[in-house]
Amino acid sequence: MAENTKAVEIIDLEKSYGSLKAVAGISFYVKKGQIFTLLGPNGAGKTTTIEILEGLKEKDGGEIKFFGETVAKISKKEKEEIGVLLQKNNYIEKIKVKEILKMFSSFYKNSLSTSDIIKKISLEDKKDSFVENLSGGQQQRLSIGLALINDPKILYLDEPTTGLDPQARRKLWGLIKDLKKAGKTVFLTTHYMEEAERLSDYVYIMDQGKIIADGSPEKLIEDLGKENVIVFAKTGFTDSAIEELQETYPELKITESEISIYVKDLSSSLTELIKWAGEKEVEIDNLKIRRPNLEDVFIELTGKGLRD
Amino acid sequence: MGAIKSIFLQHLRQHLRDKYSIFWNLIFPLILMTILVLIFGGQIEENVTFRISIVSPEIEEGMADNSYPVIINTVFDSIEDSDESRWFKFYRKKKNQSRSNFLQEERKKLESGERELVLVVPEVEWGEKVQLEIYRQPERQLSLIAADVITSIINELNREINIAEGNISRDELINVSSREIAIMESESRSNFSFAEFLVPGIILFSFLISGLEIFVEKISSMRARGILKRYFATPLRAVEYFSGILGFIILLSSTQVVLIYGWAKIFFDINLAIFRPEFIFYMLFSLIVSIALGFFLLSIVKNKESVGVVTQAVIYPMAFLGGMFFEVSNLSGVISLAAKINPMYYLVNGMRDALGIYPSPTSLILNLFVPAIWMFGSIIISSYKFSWNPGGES
Repeated sequence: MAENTKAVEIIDLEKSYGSLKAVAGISFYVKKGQIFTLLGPNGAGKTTTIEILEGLKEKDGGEIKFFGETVAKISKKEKEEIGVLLQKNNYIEKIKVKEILKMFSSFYKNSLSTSDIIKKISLEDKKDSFVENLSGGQQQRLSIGLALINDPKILYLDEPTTGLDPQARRKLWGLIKDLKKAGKTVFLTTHYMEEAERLSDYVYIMDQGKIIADGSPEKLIEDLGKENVIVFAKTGFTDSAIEELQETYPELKITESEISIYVKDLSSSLTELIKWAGEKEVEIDNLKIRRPNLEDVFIELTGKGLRD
Repeated sequence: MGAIKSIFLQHLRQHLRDKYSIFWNLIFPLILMTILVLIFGGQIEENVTFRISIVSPEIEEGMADNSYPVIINTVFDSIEDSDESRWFKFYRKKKNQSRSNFLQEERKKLESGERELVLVVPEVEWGEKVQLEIYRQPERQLSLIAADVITSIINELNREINIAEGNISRDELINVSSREIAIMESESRSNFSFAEFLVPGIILFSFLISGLEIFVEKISSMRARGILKRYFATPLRAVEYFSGILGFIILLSSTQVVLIYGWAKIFFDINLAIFRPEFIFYMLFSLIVSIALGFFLLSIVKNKESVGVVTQAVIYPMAFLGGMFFEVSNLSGVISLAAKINPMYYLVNGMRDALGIYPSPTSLILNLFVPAIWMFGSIIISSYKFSWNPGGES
């Protein structure tokens, strides 16, 4: 990969908190103009990684290249080119939308006009409202607006839709897609596989401080080698029934509430399953058939769910 | 500069929009001053000890029991042994010290505020007319009260002698004449009121609230909620943020001074030269010390919930034991020690002294040195322990 196509690259990045190795020598690069996602469960090391790249934490080891230039740490100069959305976004009380945008614009040498940003995040009718009176989705859009105020080359969005309702989440996805269309590089962390699948050009899956897989969402799913997943409720299954099922379907995955069977030939597998359930007098509830997703990839790789 | 201005404006707006902040920072000090003046006005030095020097002739062996020096010494000795002794502390000349030398020393102590009264007993024979001399400070209410008390004691003594002797005419009784001594400060004024005494204390109290409560609670809350972390993900530097908030505190403190002075001028008819350079210096010094103490608290108290409690637990003892509202130089024991290590005690003494309304019971060097130790100590500790980031990294 030519150096001039990379926005950010890290090589053997390390960070520890006492004896806990939060980031254990990971390497990756983010291609300019792409949406890059770091996917992993809570505690995987995603936020530590992104905060090192935002200049909020110092690395213990490794190398960071920012638009081709090796930097010891992200400092004032690099921060001029970065847009940030933290995992938790709180604001001071009694400040209006337009005031906070104006304040943030004063922190940068170059900034966009606050009215343009307000328009971009669709908060025109809320510009004179106090931030504390905005809904969760509106506050998150404002956070994106603050990340865009300096017209950054790269945006770091740390779990941007956590805590939002489905409608607000989809609206924010639209906004993130628009950023890509506008040529921005977006570095996203999430533990929502649907979000990663819908938005990402490239995904790195992280667990326990290490990168365990990478590729486009389509490729990662394809590499799983399964075409369908039969999912049903675990309720009503005795331990002996589960054992018998595992003998029949070695690629069975069990979570707290669900049993998933990964199959290539859906119709024959489904017929066999129903026949088996009839013979064993086991009731199959909430039967669903779906395509494999990134969560399945993660389960395949680690044996646990993203939200476990 | 734009970042500093916007941080300044942000805090100003936030403060003006918060009724709670306006009340506690701008209105409460005025209410407190009014209450204190209404309750304690005119009783500035109540419940204190009268420090009185007795300059009497040498009592020699064989001196008649009815000689005036012996009688007067006996009277004051009996006061010292009585239940009333807590009100008085008598100072007498040491052996081998000349009377004139002792008188000179004690007059100096009276001038500097270390004595309330100097009583001079002349050397006369029994039966002769006696003229006691009292040196007092007209500028100090306590000194005037001490003179009244001593005059009453002497009058009582006269009455006892009169009863005992029967044949002594009123002309032969002991008379008391008073001499007044000016305090050392040539610019010092007489007739100052409790309100005038209180104004520097209330100003200092407001600064303490600004330095500790606003500064500590505001930054602590912003730090705990990750707001500062978001600011520092931008090119904003900590020094710019600090300059902005400092500018706001200076504006707030200036407003507090104007309001407190204006209020006291209108309602209590005070007359203080608050634009004296020494006073302005002490105000700035006090503000810096308060902010340094704020940083110190922020450095050692990491938990946002504890900050409010710790701040309150620091502000009020510092204010009351710092002599902001009452004279505390006569306290004793552990409380006295707590007052003497309190930087606010020296700052308020310095402020009052700079205004020329009340001579500082502590020296100028101490008034600067003790708060400076607190200030530098706080800065040094903060520089090691303070973090803008809730996670501890900057």
